[in-house]
Amino acid sequence: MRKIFEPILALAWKDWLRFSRQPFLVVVSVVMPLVFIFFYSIIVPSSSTAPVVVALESDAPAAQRFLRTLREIHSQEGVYYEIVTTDPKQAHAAFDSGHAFGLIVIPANFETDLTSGKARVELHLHNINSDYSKNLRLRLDYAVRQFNDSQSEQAMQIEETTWLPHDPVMQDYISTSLLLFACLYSAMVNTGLQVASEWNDRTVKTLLLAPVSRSALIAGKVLTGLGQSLLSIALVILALVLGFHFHPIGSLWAMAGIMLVVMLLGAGIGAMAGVASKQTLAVASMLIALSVLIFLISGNEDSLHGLAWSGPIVVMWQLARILPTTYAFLAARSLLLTGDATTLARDLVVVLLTTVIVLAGAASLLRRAYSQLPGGQ
Amino acid sequence: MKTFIEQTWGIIVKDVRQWARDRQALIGPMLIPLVLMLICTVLFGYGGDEWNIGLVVESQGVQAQRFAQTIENLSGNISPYFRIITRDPTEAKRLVEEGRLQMVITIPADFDQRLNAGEPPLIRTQLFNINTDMMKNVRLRLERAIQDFQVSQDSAPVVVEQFTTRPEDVWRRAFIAGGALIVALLVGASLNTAIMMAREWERNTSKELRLAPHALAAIVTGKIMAGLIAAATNVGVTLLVAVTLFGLNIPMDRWLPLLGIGFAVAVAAAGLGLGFGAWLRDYRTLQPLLLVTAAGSFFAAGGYGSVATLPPAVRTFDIFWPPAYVFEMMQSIMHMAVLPDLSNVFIALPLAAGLGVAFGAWMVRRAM
Repeated sequence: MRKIFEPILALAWKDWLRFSRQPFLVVVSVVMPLVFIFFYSIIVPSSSTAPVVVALESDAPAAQRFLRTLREIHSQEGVYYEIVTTDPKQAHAAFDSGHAFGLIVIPANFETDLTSGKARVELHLHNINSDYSKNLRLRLDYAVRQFNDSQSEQAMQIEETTWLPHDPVMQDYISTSLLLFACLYSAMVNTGLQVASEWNDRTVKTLLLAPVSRSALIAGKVLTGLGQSLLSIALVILALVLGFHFHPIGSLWAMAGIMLVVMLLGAGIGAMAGVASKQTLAVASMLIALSVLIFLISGNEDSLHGLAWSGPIVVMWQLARILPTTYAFLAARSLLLTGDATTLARDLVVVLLTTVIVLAGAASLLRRAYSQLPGGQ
Repeated sequence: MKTFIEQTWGIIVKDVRQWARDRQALIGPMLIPLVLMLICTVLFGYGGDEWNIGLVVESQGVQAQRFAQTIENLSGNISPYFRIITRDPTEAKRLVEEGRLQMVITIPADFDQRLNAGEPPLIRTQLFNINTDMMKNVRLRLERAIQDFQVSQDSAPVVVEQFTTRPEDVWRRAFIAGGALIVALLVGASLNTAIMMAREWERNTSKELRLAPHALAAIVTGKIMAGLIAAATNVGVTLLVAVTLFGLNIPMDRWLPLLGIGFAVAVAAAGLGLGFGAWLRDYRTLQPLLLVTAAGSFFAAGGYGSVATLPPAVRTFDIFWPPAYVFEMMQSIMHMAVLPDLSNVFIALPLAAGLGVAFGAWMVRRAM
C-alpha cells in the first residue's frame, strides 16, 4: 500500500512546492474563479429589477397612486422597477442623453382622463436590446393591470399549481451552478497546467522514466490539482454564502460529496487535456473556454429543457444531454436546491462513470506519450 | 531611423509568423468571444420572446375563445410572446410535469358564465417552477394577455402607449454579438500581444532581444503592431460570425467611427498586454488573467446588457472600470437610433492609447 501512495504523494508534494514558489500564479489560480463569479453574478439581479426613469407630470392623487404601484410591484426576488428619478426634467434629460433606456411618462391629465376611463401612460424606449425593452413593457403592463384592478372590479383571477412549493430564487439557482463551475474550473485548469508543465519545463522524461505506473503519475497530478483548488473553492463558497446568501437545502455532507465528485471529474478532464496537448499555452485557453462552455450549457440544462422546441436551442439542449457534466449540475440541483431526488441516482452514476473513464483515458494517453517525446527531451 | 524600421519590421514578421504557426495559441483568444456569442445568444433569446406553453380551453363560449385568441396572438416588439405546444389536457399535464413546458394555462368551462355574471373568471395555471426568473417571464406574459383582453373589452381605465427611438428593436442576439465583437477586440489585442512578449521567455529567446542594440522602441512598436494584426484577425472572424449568424447589422455611417475608436482601443489594450507579458512572462498566469477578466467584463460592463440596465452597485463599479466605457461607447455606436455624442472620445481615447503604450514600454524596459 505504501508503495502505491509514496510516489503519488511525492509527486504532489513536488508540484505544490513548485506552485507555492510562484506567488503570482497562486494568486491568479485562486482568484480567477472568484473574478468570473463576481462578474457573472451581476446579471442575476439585473433580470429581477430594471432601472427606469419616470416623468411624473402630475401631482394629482391618482398619478401618485400609479407611481406607488410602479414602486411596489415585485417578484419573489425584489421590486420590478428601480425608479431612478421621478422629476420630469431629469427623466427626459437622462433618456434623451442615452443614460436611461426606458422612460415612463405619467401625463399631467392622468387623473382627469382616468375619471372618463381613458387614461394612458407612455413608455419610451431606446430599443437597442429586445430583452430589456420586453422587460420594461411587460412590467408596465403588470403595473397597469394592478392599478386597473384597484380602480374597478378584478378582471380575472389566477389559481396556480406548482411543482415546488416555492420558486427557487435565482441567486440559489445560479449559486449552485457557480459552485460547480468553481470546482470544475479549478480542478481542470490546475491539473491540466500541472500535467502540461512537465513538457513545458522539459521534466517529463525524468517523470516517465521513474519506476512507477502511469496511473500513479496521473493520480499524483490529480492530487496536486485538487490540492491547489481547495483554497480557491473555499473562497468561492465563502463568497456565495456571504455575498449571495446561498443556503443549500441539503446536508453539508451532500454538498461536500458532490463537490468532490465534480472536482475529480474536472481533474480527470484537465489531466487528459494536459497529456493530449503537452503545451501550457494551449491547455490554459482550451480549458478556460471549456469550463465556461460547460458552465453555460450543462449549468442551464433544466432551463433549456422547457425552451428547446425549435431552432438552435434544440441542438444545444441535445448537446447538454450528451455532456456528462450536465448530470453533475442536475445532481447538485437535486441535492442543494430542489430536493427532488427522482433522477439523482442516474445522475450520480453518469458522473462517477465518466470520472473513471477520463482518469483511465489520461493514464492511457500518458502511456502513449512515452513514445512521443519530442527532440531534446 | 533605418535601423528602427528594419528592427520593427523584423519583430513584426517574426511574431506574426510565430502566431500563425502556433495554432493552439491562436485559438484561445479567438475562442472566448465565439463561445460567449454562441452560447449566450442561444441560451438567452436566439428565437426572440416566444415562450412555450400548453393552452387548454375547456369552454366553447365566445369570450373564452376570444381570450384564447388573445393569448395566441399576444406579441412583443420582435415576436409572439407564446407558442402553443399543445392544447390536449393530458399531454399538457405530462409535459409540464416533466419540465418540458413551464406553464399550462387552462381557461375553465364557466369562463363566459362568470364574466357575464360580472364575476372575475378563474384561470388555472400549472407551473414547472424551476427558478424565479423563468417564472417571472411566463407569469408576466399571462398578465399582459389579461390586460390586453381587458383593453379589447374596453374595460381598462388605463392603457399603455409605447414609443421607440428605433423603428425596430435590436434583437438581443445582435446586441450580444456586438458585445462579443468588443471582447474579441480587447482579448485579441491584449492577450495576443502579451503572449508574443511572454513567448520570448517561454522559448528562451529573451537574451537575443536584450542583446540587440537600441532596440526598445522597435520591440515595443513591433510587438504592438504584430498584436494588432492578430487582433484584426480575431475581430474579423468574430464579425463574420456576428453578421452572418446573429444578425448584427451596423449602419454604413457607423463604420468609420467604429474603426477609429476600435483602433485606439486596440492600441491601448495591446500596450497593456505588452506590459503584462513583460511583467508576468508566463502563459499560465497571463491567460487566465486576461481571458477571465474579458469574459467577466462582457457580463458586467455592457457586453451582455447596457450599463444603464444593470443594478446600482454594478453601475457604480463600472464608473471605475475602463472596459465599461469601451463596451458602452461601441454598443451605442452600433445600435442607437442616432449617433451618440463623441466629443469626449477625441481626448480620452488617444490618452488611453498613449497610457497603454507607455505602460507597455515601461514594463518592457524594466524586463529587458
